[in-house]
Amino acid sequence: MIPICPRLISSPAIGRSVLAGVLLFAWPSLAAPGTEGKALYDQHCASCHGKSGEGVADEYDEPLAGDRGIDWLSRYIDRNMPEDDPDVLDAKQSAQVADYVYHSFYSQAARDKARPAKIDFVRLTAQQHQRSVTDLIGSFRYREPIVETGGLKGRYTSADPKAPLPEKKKDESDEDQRHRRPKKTIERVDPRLSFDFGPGSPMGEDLDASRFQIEWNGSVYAEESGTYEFILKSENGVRLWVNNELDQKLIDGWVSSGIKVEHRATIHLQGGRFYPIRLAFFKFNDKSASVSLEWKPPHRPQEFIPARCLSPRNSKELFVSTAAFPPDDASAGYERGVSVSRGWDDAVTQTAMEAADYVAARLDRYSESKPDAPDRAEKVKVMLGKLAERAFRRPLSEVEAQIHIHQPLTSSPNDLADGVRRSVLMILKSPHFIYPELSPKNDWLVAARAGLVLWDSLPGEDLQRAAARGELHARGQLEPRVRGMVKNPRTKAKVHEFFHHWLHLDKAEDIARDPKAYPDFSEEVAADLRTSLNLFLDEVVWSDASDYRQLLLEEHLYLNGRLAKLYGADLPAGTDASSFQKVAFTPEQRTGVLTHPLLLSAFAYYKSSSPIHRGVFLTRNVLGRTLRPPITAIQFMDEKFDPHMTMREKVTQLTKSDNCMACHSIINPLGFALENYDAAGRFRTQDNGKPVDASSEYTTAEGQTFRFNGPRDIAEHALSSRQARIGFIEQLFHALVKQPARAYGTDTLDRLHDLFVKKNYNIQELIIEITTTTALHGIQPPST
Amino acid sequence: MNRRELLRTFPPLALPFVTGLPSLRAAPAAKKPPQRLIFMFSPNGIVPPQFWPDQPGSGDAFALKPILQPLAAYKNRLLMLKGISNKIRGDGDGHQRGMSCLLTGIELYAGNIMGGGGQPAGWAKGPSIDQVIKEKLQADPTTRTRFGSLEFGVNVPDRADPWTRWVYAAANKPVAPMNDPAQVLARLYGQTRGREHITSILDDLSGELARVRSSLPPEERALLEEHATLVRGMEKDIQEAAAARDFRHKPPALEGNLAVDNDNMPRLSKMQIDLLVSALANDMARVASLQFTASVGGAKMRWLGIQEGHHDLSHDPDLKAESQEKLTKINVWFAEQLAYLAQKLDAIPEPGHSGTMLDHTLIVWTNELGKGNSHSLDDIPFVCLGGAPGLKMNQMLAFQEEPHNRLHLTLAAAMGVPLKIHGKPELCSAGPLALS
Repeated sequence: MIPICPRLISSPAIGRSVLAGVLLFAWPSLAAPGTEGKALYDQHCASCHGKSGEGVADEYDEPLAGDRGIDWLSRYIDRNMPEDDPDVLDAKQSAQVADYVYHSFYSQAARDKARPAKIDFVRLTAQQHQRSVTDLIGSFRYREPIVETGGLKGRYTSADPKAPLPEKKKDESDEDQRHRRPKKTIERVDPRLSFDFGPGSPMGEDLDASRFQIEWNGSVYAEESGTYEFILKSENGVRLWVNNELDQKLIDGWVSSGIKVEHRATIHLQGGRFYPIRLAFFKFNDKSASVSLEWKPPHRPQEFIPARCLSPRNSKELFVSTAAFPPDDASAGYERGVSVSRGWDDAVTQTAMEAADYVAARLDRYSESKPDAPDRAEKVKVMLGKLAERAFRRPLSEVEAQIHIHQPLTSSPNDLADGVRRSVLMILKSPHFIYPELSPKNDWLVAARAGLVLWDSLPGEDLQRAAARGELHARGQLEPRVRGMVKNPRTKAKVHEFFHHWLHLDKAEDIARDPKAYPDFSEEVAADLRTSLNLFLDEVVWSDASDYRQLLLEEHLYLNGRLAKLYGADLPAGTDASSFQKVAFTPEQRTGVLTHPLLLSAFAYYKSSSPIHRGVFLTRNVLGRTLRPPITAIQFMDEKFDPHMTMREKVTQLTKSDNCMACHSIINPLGFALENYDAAGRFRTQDNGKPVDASSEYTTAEGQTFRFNGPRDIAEHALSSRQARIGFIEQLFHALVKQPARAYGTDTLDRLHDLFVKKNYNIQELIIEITTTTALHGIQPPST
Repeated sequence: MNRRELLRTFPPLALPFVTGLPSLRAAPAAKKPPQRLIFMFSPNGIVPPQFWPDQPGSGDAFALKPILQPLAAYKNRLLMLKGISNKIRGDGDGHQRGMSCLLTGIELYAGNIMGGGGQPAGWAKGPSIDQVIKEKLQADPTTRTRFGSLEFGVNVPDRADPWTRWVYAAANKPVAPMNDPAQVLARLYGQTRGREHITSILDDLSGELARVRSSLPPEERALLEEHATLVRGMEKDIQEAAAARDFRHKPPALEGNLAVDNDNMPRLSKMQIDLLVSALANDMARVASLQFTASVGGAKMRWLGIQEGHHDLSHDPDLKAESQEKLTKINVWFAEQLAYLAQKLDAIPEPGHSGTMLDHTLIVWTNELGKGNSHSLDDIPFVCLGGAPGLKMNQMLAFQEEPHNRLHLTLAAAMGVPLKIHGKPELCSAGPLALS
């Protein structure tokens, strides 16, 4: 269950909660504040709301800020304010007060003027830090981009059963004689590593059944960052290597006694990257043979590694730190590196130490040297020079090279590896690595910013080369390169994370449903739904159209056999029940992410739907409006209601007071429009034995009223609403740039919005524009 | 000595970012000196005429053959045991059982690893004696140490199979030896080394932070100021940790990262022995093993002028004098490693007690075979060096095909762990071997 807003407003101070209760996006206005309004405000309002609407402790301590329109404010003040005597101001005076409040501090434009948003001086966020170190060290090994997925390459080898028998040796068993025949190898790509060969051969008569070996090779793709547990089961000999080229096995079960053994081992992986994987297997006269490889990725139950995460192509190992960074400040709604702490410093140090050991163990590989080569020290120095240049995202000064490379090397003259450790430590602890904006404002910084915005990491070689040539300070130079970076898996991983944040999937974990009411809803179903949603998001975002509208309007769902059963659909005939297929629904039943069962389940209670959770999500994330947390919490307790009531009736009763309705007049109609979906997101026409009523009336910030009848109406409204579109753009901007959008100019969002609409709501184009704009911010072409 | 050198000399422990094992305090000063046990392994049998004295006997009647000559200085602390057999039969070839039953004294499971004869085998069916002793010592607060036991390897092949493992925590649970001195150093003193490296960069880092800070407009300096405070805090932590804790014996200085390959074997051996003695001197363990290569080990001792692999040579017939000579040289080299270990232990006084560490350490040098070319599991060499209660040194004792399980019982008793059975019960019925 996901407590998005488990509390409801309950406060005797009706008026207090209303002005504060709804905060919306800005509408710039050029009108000047009126002086009559100011005098009235000072006389009647300032004692509770403060001289400039900043709030007064023990009276009304929330600042007056939001974006209801002037008309709404005026009506509201006329009716309710001042709280102790609402009649003291007439309609005209109320309008004057509203005009003053609006233009002085309430509206976004007024707030922008009073306290302009600024770009914070920040360190790398935890994620940026970890990814940068991974890619920094990975830059010493060329990695071909992998596009092909679908399984691992399997090589099956045994003595060729069809070859003639060699002459029998003295005392030789028939079996040994057979196995002296020439070897034969068969190759194929295996999408799923789960085999039970029983007593037989893996290839019928083409291979021998009593003794054979198999080796699977390729790459495994980590969709998310975190700890992965690998589970290898076999009664035969098995070995597993993951992300290690120094031949360190993750699992070694080469010796076995014919009894099935389960081996488990864990490894940290960074999301959005492929890692080398190799699984070796052999059978030697055992009665039977089987092998299966499963994993338990972060946020998912144990499962066979899906074919989409396996590639028959090889990749190179990557350094992944095991340090646990404390969470970054997310109070602004996105992570920012605005503070440092002891825990953070320790994690930085641990990462640096692990990286130092890792590089020291691969010295010759990275410096292309040999242990006894006469120019080894020289080559290592060059390697460290590259490492520092990539870490600082710019060339080093003489002094910097001295401190970060030469000095550490000379401090341990007899132990090159130790000198390298000291140097790597110094580079990765340096403020020049940790604070990207310390760099001079030139082409190098443009590259660094683009890397951070798109990948949360260092820029690629292509960008760095362009920076070195001074070809990155103009829009025309940068944009095509950004375009090239967008389809990289690193961008995909970051955009994935944005969508998870936007759709609150970080909270959609451990969804449990009442087993009596939802006997088929299991942990596996929840994991399948996550996959289903990811497949949908990827399909939409990474198609050429990359159309935001499709996210909200699409009528199909990705389902596998298990989900199809639960959601009452049939998979296309002849398809594999374990893989996901696109299944069409009617426009009334499904409309994009709004009705994806994962979201509908995440925003629901143990036993029932939750119009409040769903409504809050739609208000904030789809319609771009903001809600302030309720002042007093009320728990929804199902057992307190008449058992014959529908969910809609219960919520209506619970939130009927005026002060509740200040927010719930927005929340409830949106939530009620989704009442055709139960707590597992299944379509329904009845709730508690009564027909579902999904119709509602919704009033916008500007005071316009719309009639909704189901989620498609909400989706269409969201697409027609500028505020909703800007809300989406702003969230994407923050997730990518991790700075306030307005700090790049108060018109930034409007500009992005107009471009977004002009480009047919193309999300990739929006990402490219955000990256280009912010990377070039404040960069002057070099004076010639 | 300036402050920073002081930090380097007394490397601290226990900063929170490397969460090692909680540093177990040294056991309360015991009345009895600590007793230690080290098993040392070399492979492929020995050369009997160059190894075994012609007659059993003690004192002047105990004369060392060429292979034992490097240990001449320690003759009065040597005890050789002849006539002990590895009587474990069942699955596995001679080398597999020779290795995996050497300390476990119990059969191997049937399995999928085919050797040079017999049936394919799996892992041993029970724990090795060193691990049994270790568990008992760790259960007692007066003998508990940070690691309990440490398993060292020198050029052990990077494979896990019945030929490469002799230490078992339990049935089906072989323990891999630490083969790389850098890995050992990290395990024993890793936190310390990391601290040293960090200490070495703190001044430069603080300097850089200060320069960078002054380049920023004043309103953007707060974050870097906090950062600089953290760096100063770390320096202080390291100083305090250094003041609070120090090792009795300094970690040995290693000569950089040495690849674990054949030709580095002499240097690797010395490093591993230095680390082993250092760990024992700092009372990190009371039980240890030192495994040179593995059963069927094929070291090419080119530093002795021998180009052939050890195992290949061991198959040559007795009559091939040249090979016997080379095998003798190889075994002399192993004896030299044992002598180096003994000499290191003998150079360190036992803290709080009379004598040296060697007086309270029993080293047992053994092998998976009695003789290489016959793959005999009889007359397995057991050479005891050092001191332990109940063992009379400066002699060779000869037995008649006594099961080696009985020796396990004797060694356990000498470590203060009396046992009635270890490994296969039938082979223990006569109780511990008397070695006095």
